[in-house]
Amino acid sequence: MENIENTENKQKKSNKFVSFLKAVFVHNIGWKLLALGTSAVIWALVAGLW
Amino acid sequence: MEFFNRIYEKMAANPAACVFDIILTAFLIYGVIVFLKKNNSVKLVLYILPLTVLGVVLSSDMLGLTVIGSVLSYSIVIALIGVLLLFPQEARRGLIKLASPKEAHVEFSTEYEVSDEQLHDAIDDIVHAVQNMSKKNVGALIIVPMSTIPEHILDSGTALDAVLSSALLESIFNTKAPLHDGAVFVRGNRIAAAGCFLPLSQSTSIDKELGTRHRAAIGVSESYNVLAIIVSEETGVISLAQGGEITRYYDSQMLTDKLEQVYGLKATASSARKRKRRK
Repeated sequence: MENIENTENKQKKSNKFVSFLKAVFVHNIGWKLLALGTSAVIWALVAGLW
Repeated sequence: MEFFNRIYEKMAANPAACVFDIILTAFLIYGVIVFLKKNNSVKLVLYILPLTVLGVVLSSDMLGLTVIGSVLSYSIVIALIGVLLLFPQEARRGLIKLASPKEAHVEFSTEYEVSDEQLHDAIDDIVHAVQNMSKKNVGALIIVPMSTIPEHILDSGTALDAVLSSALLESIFNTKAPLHDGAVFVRGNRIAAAGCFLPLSQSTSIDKELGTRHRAAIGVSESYNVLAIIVSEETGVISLAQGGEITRYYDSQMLTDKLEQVYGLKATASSARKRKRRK
């Protein structure tokens, strides 16, 4: 019984981890890349021009 | 060349700080994008981001444009005032959310915890109920939200959280039932709330023949990312409102296709066959 609970807990944890990874790297990835790209461009302009 | 030398020097001096700086700015920009997306104004990104880049260039020391540089240094204040003027309700709700984060919005998404088969059943039930009500000239307003909906809209009705069925939908919209005069909010295969009051559209271009139910459907779809299904009480005509636009004369197949699209389902040949067999 304990083994089953442990396995379920592990599965839940791994599911949470997978959904966290998905939330970071998969959902809205286009917008995230756009934000990162724009941020890099702005940083380069500020560093080079200011 | 001096431009690239400066960048190289800054990078070489403290690379970790540069990367941290870029990531923090990206978070800020992404926050703005998410805010605009939630308010159905994501197109503004196409103006805001290039204008920000242009502002950085014009207000730089290298160009020496004193006046425009000074004006742009106040641009953040101007932008904040602009946001408050453009989204007064959202700004107010944002402040409320800061004070009580769990109360301001109810999160809806197109990722449901139920199987595709259950979602297909829910779609069949919605279509069946809508068809029956259309035949009997019973007015109905069903809202399928695809993103956040303010809590006060759901609170204006009665919370149900019941498993969706065509009989339940028809019972709710029965003209003698207390909850019939309002909208039903559906999430996946559950009815979240019934008898909800919606903001009416103030548009003057709406056909005068359309009543308050249609105006409410257009109003809610103007402000929020939802699909509104309307059955006219007078004519029994089935209409759909999305993005502030209303499309009339839907039949059951068109409605099924639209709901499958909204629910993120692809009507595969096998699932279609299964459904036919069940019937």
